[in-house]
Amino acid sequence: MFKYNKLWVYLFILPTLLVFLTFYLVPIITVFTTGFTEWNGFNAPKFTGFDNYKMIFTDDNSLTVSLINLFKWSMIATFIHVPFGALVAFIIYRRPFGWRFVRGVFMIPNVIAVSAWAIIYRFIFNDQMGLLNNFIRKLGFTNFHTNWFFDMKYAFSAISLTWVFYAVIVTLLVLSDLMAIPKELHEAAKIDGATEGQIHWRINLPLIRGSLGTSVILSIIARITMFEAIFLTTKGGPGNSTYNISVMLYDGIVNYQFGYANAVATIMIILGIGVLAITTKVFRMNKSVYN
Amino acid sequence: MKKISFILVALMLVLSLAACGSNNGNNSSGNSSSNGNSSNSGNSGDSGTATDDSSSNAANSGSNNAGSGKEVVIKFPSYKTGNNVGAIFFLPQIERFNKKYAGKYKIEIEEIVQDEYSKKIKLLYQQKKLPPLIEVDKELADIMINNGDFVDLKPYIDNSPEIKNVLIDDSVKYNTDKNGKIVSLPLAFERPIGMYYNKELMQKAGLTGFSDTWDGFFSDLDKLKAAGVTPLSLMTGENGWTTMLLASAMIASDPEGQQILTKGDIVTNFNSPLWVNTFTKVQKLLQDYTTKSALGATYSIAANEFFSENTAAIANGPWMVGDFSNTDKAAEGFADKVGATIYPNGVALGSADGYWYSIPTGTPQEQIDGLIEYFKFIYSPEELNAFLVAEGGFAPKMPMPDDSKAKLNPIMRQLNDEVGAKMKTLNRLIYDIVPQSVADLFAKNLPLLATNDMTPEQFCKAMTDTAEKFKK
Repeated sequence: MFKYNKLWVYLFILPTLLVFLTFYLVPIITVFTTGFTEWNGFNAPKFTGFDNYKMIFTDDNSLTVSLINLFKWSMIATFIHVPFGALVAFIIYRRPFGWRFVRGVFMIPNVIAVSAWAIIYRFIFNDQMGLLNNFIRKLGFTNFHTNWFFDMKYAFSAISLTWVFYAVIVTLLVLSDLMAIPKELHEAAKIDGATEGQIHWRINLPLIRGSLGTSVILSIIARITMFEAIFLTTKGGPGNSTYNISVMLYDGIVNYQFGYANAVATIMIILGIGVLAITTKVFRMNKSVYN
Repeated sequence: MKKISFILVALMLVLSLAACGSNNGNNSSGNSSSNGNSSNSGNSGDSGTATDDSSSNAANSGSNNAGSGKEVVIKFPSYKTGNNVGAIFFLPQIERFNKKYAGKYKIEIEEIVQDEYSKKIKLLYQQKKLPPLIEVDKELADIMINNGDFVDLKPYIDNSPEIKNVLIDDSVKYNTDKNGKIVSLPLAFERPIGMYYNKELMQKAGLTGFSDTWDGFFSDLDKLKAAGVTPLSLMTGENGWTTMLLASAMIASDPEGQQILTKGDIVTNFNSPLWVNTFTKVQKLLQDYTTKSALGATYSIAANEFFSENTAAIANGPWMVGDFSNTDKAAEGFADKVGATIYPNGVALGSADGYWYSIPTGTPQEQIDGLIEYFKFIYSPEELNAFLVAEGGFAPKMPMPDDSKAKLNPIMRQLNDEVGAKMKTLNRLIYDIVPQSVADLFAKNLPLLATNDMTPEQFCKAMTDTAEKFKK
């Protein structure tokens, strides 16, 4: 009987397994193996050992700059983006007047393509006709001129502003966890004399650590793969001030260095796995919050 | 009952996957006989791929239709669309071709911005899904020539005296590979790139034109500035086009630089006084003689500064002239205020050495025939003269008839006169002799030159490092 059921289990797994093998595993293996080759994308790859990695780590400071920028964006994601999304979730959780409307509006930026946002932000941050500078000039600073995306001092911040407050995924994840907290816990805490702040701090926050961890993972991985917002605005410039590992990969592709690009992609995968492992550990995500 | 449910669900899952695959196949065949607008659902997330599928579908459509005596549809992407100045002549010319060959050939253009064109072609080549007509840069051309991926145009050109007789010999030579194949359509015309200036604004500084030397040119810029006029429309966004033109002219003015440009080999070392001095001057231009909007400006912003009479001059090719009298872009009568010249030291830019239209191998014969007809059409005396009248330049082997000369825009006529009287050398652009990685970096680092966050030496070193990195 057990053997018979096992057959059905395998049969049901088969479609997913096929999809995984075709669309995930084979490309990942291709990326990993061709990272050790010289390949211009048009001819057969030629094995060159660790040459691409040597080029990435020693030829110039592209990787260092990319990792520094990734670290800074990860900090912004962890300490501003995720807390902001969680804060909105806590506010919505109290169901104040118009909470459904706020939730709907908060969702809008996430249903607009990143590439469209990038173009919109080019206009917002434009020196002459941009909304931001015109607003500043209206405040009385009539001679104010800054081209946010093209001034080294501001480009990094300008790029960060294109995503930092769009945290609806965080809000939805946290909100669903908040709503799943049994009311009995809150009632028991109130009977014991806990204030609302104490309930949030000592009960709600620990119980949503799983969704907070998931949010941090998703946010940092989105920074690793962030491309459109950079490419359609600054292209990683001015200089290297907004350069990141995705643009580095793109540079490899447009210069016919597909082996190099895939070595960069391998580093991206390793970074993603690292983020997953560390965040899981820090937020104790593999343990139930109710234990 | 449970077993039957299990079997049904499992079958549904497996069949739904199989259906996805077969559906694609059905779509493909369906598209072959339709207008080719549908995109493959499997590629819907990738616009480049999806679009190319349309192209290849159009190709299939063309072949099938040709076989059945129907109109052959030839679809390819072009950047001479939308706001691109080249669209003004190119798109109506395509319409004229379609009208002339109605029922036989039809060209459909897919719109793409110039900045992305060559990148898209590279990606399509890598996917082996090239459209029937492409324009390639030197780097990609070298790879495609080595792989034998271009249709040899020589037999077609030899059989078409109307094309052969107008081609510039140097261009034919450049486009002929070591095996004697002509890999892209040689040019029949030369269009020197110069500069346009606002005569009224120049007069404010007591100038009637720019000086013939670079020292004099900078002195003219100072005079303009002193008269309260911002001298130049420069840009650091996109590919830094107008700024790159002035830098190219400076390089061409130096004997060593002129030699480099004439030779045409890809340059990977910029750590020499020639390049450092040039970018020192470019830095001065960006810091002292242009608008604040130049930082990050795209071509449209730079051009708009000139159209709006905020700047006295802009460097660009003769294809821009049509825009001066376009009231959507400039005020009525603006064209009357514009004069044209070449660069100091008798330098003009643009060269007949370069690749133009190529046909990739694997293109159906019906489409190749259609494209050869298109080449004959654009090189016919009426079309070639109309082109030169509209976009400037001259065809060395086809003197312009008097009626065409009479139609010539006064600005274009002035540019032709300047070329005739002053031009000592016609040179390649910097972008013709640097790798793509350097061209990308050039635009990315220009803002740093402007804001003094990078010295010219660092600018040149960064270009060298990037060129070396991707040199293989």
